Amino acid sequence: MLSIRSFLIAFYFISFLAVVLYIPLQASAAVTKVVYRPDRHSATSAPSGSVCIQTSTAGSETTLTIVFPTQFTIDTTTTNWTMDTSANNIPAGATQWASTGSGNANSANNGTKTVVFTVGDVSADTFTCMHFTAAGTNAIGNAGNDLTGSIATNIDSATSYATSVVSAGGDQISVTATVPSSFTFSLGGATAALGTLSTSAVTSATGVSATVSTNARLGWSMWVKNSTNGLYSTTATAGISAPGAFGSTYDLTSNTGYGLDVNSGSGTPTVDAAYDGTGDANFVGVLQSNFKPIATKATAGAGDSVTLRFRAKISATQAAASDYTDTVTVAAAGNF
Amino acid sequence: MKSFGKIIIIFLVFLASAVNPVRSMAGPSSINYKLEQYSFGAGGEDSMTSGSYGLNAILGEIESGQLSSTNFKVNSGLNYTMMANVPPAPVISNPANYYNKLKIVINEGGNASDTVYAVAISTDNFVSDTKYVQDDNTVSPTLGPEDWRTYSGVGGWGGASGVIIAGLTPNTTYTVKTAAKKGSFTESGYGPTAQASTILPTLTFDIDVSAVDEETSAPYTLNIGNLTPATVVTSNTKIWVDFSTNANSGGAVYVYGANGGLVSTTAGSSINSGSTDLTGAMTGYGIRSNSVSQTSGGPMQSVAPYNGAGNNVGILDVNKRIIYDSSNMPISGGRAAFELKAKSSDTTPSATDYSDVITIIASGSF
Repeated sequence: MLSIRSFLIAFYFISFLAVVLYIPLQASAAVTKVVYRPDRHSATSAPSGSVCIQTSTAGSETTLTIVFPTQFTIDTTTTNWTMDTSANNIPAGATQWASTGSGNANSANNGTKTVVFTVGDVSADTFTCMHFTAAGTNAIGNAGNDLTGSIATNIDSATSYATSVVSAGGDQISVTATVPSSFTFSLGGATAALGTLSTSAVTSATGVSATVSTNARLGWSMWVKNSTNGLYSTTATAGISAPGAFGSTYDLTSNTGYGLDVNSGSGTPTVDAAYDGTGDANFVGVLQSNFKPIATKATAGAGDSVTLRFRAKISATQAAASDYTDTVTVAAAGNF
Repeated sequence: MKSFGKIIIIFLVFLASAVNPVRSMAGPSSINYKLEQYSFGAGGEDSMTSGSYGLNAILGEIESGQLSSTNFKVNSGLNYTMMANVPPAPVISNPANYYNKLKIVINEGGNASDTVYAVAISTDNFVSDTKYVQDDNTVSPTLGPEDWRTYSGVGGWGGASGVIIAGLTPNTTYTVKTAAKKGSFTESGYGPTAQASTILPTLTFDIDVSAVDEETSAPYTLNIGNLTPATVVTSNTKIWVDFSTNANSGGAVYVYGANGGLVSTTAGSSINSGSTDLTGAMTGYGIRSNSVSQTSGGPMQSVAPYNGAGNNVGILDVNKRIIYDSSNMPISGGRAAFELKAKSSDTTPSATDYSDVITIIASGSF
């Protein structure tokens, strides 16, 4: 049986051993990784980048000390050093290192090349990063490799890193490319037969499609014109006149004459009001012997189309002939 | 057994003296036995000679005494006959440009395989700084029993391959020496020293822009050329990266763009970047790794989504993304190249000023 005295001696001895063993256990914990990832390596840049640490040191981090390479110029105005918490600024997968201060540096010393920030605690064995930017007279100096500095906290001993500075602009590539202009135009057919015209009904030819593909940044326009005489018979030396003046559409149901109706197709181009009938109804616009716009589109398009429908209705006195003919020209252009 | 017999004899002498001091001068005795002659120590013979050698000392075991020189020490006498041999200088080296590590190979010095060794290490040749290599190969001022390790085997000093001492200070010369022991009271003194140095952390980085593998200078421009609609266009010119670091956990090369795509101010249009197979995409823009190599270490490797084949490209946006790493290992002479690919559609507005700015950065995990 142990006496009380023996028990107390044993207890104190075991406690002493626990303390002795615990101290080396703490001492063995350390920083396992530090990373200094600059945003730019260019000699003309101000220092900015991400600073990361992974540590198993017991205790709470409260300050971060960054020692920059000796060739850096450190602006000692602390407000010219800013710590941000933008997630995209730190390496993917890293834990954001919180700022517990103003966001500006606590101190900045050009002699020791040291900048200190107030930071939050780092969870054990967690890769934790912060991002900083600098303004003012800060500069990373001339091109050179193997430029060393260190990263430490109030409880984590300084761990060295190395970085590189390249010549001005030596970390960037200006990329250029050209998208060449393109334009294609086609008509779905070269003829539009109206057939036998009627005094009581509107006759419509089969629609002729006009298709445009272009990468013109401002889209395209399409125009149309017809021959001077319009729908004219050489044999009868007579023409079928327009239903009215140019600029409006006319319903041939209640009028006689010859004209063009334009319908929007693929790509939904905008049909000009002068030719914008109402779908398959009997409205037509007036063809002119000089080009008049029939459709436009404000953006590039592939396979944009409109349909041209020629319609006519004759009066009872229209001279009979089988050679009423007109030649209509369609043109289009890209607005590059 | 011999030693045990001596102890018995000494004990008997002591016993006899204690019982009858007067009779001890005549030799210890008991009812059945009598020790006719005795003395303390193991005796020996002085000034022996042969044809070639002469010994100006007593040969044999004596009670105490020590012969020493700068590097060696002989503790003679009964209790020291089983001392381990003093280990010769270990071999310490920096075989891979370590900045906080060194490699040490213990020299057994003829000791038996169950001999254990301790390594002392110093930054000032043991003037005021003495630490010891721990069982986890870090260094500490304390030498614990667990830090005595066999030459090889589990938890040993790695045999002929040695072990890597970690947690050292960059750009510092370290001096090491070893001691050996084989059971209690057999610890040798520390042997001769050896030295090696850590170097500073290193990181070299450079880019080149060329159709072939060659060094070029800034400013760097790269014209992809005409992006014929519905056609994947690959830049003839490649972007080359030089990367080396002795960082313990290797390093990585990051890439990011300015616009998230090729942007035309004139056309007010952009060809957006994304990770995709441009073959089946309407439009797109991205980069794809072409080659990786290194002189040693690593290896350098391209990382998804930049390591695809054919017209598979990785995104190039404003986020810094890893395109290459060194497999978490230090690397020397890393060299990699990647190309740009773009595709416009029939409706991509034409312009001659589609552009982007690619920035490449690198870091090491020290």
